[in-house]
Amino acid sequence: MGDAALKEVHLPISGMTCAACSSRIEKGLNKLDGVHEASVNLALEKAAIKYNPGVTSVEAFEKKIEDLGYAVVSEKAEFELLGMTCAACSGRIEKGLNKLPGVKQAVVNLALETGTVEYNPEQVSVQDMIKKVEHLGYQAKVKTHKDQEIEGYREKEIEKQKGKFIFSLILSIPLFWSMVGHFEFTSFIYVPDMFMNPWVQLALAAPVQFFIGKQFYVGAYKALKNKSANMDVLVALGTSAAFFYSLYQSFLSIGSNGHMVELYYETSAILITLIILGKLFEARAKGRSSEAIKKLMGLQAKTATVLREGEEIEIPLEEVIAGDIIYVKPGEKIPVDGEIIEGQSALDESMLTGESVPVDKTAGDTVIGSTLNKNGFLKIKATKVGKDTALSQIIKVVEEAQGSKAPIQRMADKISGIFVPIVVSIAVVTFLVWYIWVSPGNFAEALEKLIAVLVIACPCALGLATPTSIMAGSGRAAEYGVLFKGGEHLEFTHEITTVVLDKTGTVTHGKPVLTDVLTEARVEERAFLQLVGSAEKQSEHPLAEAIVKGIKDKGITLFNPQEFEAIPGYGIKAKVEGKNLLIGSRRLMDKYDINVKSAKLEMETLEENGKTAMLVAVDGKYAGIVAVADTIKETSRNAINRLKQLGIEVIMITGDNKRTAQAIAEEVGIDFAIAEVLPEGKAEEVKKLQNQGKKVAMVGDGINDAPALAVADIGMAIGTGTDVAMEAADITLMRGDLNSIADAILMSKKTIRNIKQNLFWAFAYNTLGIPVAAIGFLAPWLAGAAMAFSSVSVVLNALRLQRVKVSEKTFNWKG
Amino acid sequence: MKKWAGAAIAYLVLVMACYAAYDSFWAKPEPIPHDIEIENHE
Repeated sequence: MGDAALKEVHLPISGMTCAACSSRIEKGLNKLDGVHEASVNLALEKAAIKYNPGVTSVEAFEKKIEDLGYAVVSEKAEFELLGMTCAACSGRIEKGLNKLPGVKQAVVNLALETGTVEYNPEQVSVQDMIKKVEHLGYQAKVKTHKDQEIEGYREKEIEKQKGKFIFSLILSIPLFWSMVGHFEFTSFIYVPDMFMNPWVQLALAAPVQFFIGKQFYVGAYKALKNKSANMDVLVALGTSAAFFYSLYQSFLSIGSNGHMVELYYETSAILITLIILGKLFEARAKGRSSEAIKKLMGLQAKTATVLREGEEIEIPLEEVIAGDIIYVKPGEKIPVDGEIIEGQSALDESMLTGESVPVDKTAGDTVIGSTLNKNGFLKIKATKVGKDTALSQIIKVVEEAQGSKAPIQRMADKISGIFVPIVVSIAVVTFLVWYIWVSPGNFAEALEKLIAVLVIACPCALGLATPTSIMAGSGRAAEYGVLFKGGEHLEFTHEITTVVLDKTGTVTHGKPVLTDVLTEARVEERAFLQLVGSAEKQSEHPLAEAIVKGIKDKGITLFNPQEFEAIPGYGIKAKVEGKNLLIGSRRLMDKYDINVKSAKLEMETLEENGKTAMLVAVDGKYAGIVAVADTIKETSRNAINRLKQLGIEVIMITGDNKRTAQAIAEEVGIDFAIAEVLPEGKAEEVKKLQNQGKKVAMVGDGINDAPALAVADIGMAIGTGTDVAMEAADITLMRGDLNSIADAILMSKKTIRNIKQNLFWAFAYNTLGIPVAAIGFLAPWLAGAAMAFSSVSVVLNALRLQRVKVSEKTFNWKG
Repeated sequence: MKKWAGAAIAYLVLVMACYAAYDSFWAKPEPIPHDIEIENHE
């Protein structure tokens, strides 16, 4: 079956604690019939599954995930339902909603006129549900925002973990105090008799072990039930060993006035406290790593004022449908993508295009959702809503990149998958070696070493190393206007040795502008331009548009031509204010016997500089020349210089003649230009460079360069973030500025360096920690602290990427 | 969070109170070391 027939679904998963969990779910899903590819991201807590809908279904995935001991997180939406009269109505809505794909459960309350739907947001949207209800003949309104729900759920979870930590900390302090009394160097500290009593210690340690530590037992049980092992197994084993051995010792102490027995209650309690603390830090840091998405979502307007049945009403953004007429006041955000039907204003599009100067828009122009209406009142027709808006597309690309796996991660996944059984074996061997040879018969000492090995070896840091860096790196890159499509592109971009730039629209603006005006001595320039502009006003040719715009920008008012005729291939003939004008090529002048000899030299010079020159004759006499050309972006030269400083070879590719190509290349500082290449030949040229052993990045506007973008090792589409040319490329550069290329390469370099640091730290920690613990240099509670510290440090290191500075310009995402 | 902290402190106080009660009513006196007893006899 071709890829086209495959479907992809993303499921949010809860209950994963380490990389062993994610790889187990991944394996389980990949084993299902009809699953083409499944990958699970631990940091994002999401599974991405490509499947054949004819063979399997999302329900099967949910069941599999639940069978493995985890849960698929669903979202809840609440609706106000209008138009129901009896139980049959509510039943009908309920049935209708439950039939929608992605809806887990829909419950309708007739008395309250509300409906609650539990659903997977990846499969079905709130709008789909509203449409369904309306299709059934009722009305539905959203009661809550889904992002608030998720945020609420996360915050609640963090609050709960915080509470658990405080609870176990308070009960662990007396146990820690009692431990202090055992060390020689702290023996001067007074320890109350009460805390040395085994039964008091038992009473304090038991709630920590079984109430707070319940989550580890449950997690371990689920893992073992599925014949695998994870971090929970190690924690449960380690702490239980300490707790039950102490319990046994406590019973032995009966009758022997037990102050002298060796107890390890403090070990188990402190371990659990520290691990919960580590998890708390981790959860907070994980929340911060998805800040880029939150910022992007924050750009959206929350409500829109629409015209419904002749009335202006304010509705939540989710309820706006395509075709709605929307009113936007000055200072308000444009709610969705649309087209202006009335009014004019300057729009601040900086949040999406990076362009700091507001763009003037008037009736007929398109507007992008989430941009800011600066000063005019606008009436807009919604064209794209919900998941189709430009902003939603950008969010989707960033989310997918954050959730994707970099190839470097596969190795870490493989290792952490087999890690736990190996560690348990090492721990048992350590115990036996200590019990039989090192300290024969000393059960307590051997047990202590076993616990330390079990605890230090948790592979949490290993599992978090790559995904957290990818999340933070791709999020930060998005703030610079660089959208990586996947983790693999973020990983490979730093290997680029050669950057091939398409000329038109990449190095240059891609839009012709009026560059030169040359007039005969007898002709006054402003009057000349007024005539030319008025004549060209009627023409729809792009060059004519450039001339008219250039003249208008000079503040010259134009007349309406009395007569106008376009002569294809020659130019135009027009009558303005009683004067007969001819504007066009030499051929046009020849056709009407106009003498243009005096313009020959100037014309040639302009053409050598890559400009298109047009001759103008007024009342049968040559009067002057207007020239238009595609201009070079102001930032191109500096951007190319930055690439060169990074040691990257920069090549320009164009269909222009060699002389023009060379002139432009020299102007921007490119050493080598490949000229006279047809669009279809660009891919061939990229291949040639690759055959020379170069790693090539092709940068183009993503539409006519698609084959070259696909062939290149990394394809970069340069756009404004509004084009859905993102499909064609591996990276989308939202700012139409070549500086983004260097930003992308630097971001990739920094992310890869960060991943390597994380992996090194995680591996070093485990490979050094295990022998140190086995030899006996690490007390179990220290092992616990080190374990918690390792996960937290890996996440914090990844978060450094959020503050990385690769260039001066970031996007204003303050919302 | 306050609830969790309150519950933990209440529980800790309860455990300490139980120990104090046990200590004052039912705990046996510490046995006097044998050599000290002999010394006293002499």
